[in-house]
Amino acid sequence: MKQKKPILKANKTLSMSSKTKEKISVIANNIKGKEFFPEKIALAKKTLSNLKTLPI
Amino acid sequence: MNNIPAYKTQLISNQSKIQYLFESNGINSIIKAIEYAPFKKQNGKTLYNLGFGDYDLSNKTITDDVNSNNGDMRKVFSTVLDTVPLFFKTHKDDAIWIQGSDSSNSFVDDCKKNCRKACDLNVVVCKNFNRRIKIYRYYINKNFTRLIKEYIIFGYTNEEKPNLIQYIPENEYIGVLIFKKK
Repeated sequence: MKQKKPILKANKTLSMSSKTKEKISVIANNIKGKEFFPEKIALAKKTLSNLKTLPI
Repeated sequence: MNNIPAYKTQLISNQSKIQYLFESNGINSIIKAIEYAPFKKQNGKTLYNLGFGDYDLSNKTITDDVNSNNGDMRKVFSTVLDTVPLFFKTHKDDAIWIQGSDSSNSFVDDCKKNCRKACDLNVVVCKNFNRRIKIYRYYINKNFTRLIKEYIIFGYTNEEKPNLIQYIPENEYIGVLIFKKK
């Protein structure tokens, strides 16, 4: 039986050129090991700091 | 299934943080980043912050506080959504937290300083406040009945006593927490 695709999965993926792959590879090396959004993490921690238990 | 095409992403880290890069091909070519970063453990589950932003070529960092207006917002948003099923494939018990960088209390004060939207400062209305989370909420509200077949969604209220409660479409939330149904 064919498995249903998840709702959030895009039905079409646009291809990536080899030039873009190269560019991304260079950028990936530049930002290797870094946290991208430290301010967002701080905000998330602060927002949910009073959360004692999950509702699930 | 999501009918909007997504850009192909490149997984660049799959360790404690999950990071992707992709190219937005709108008016300009912009390298964008998606990150799922763990920030809290609760009840044996790890909460991951979903972050998303642009790679800044000049200082080689990722920034999430600019609106690039690249003319391909739907494709970019679809690309972010496309990574969610991938996340839950390997993190079945964990959760994704979504909150915009414009949802912090300090955002309104900072925005007021350079307000270009003619907001009524006397009644403290900031048109830019919560703009990012509104995009996610709009999508959730529109697709709610389909989404709850696969996901359990909670909204974080911004009341005097903030609380994480079951998501009800059209209600106001400053953050959203998503679990995968088993």
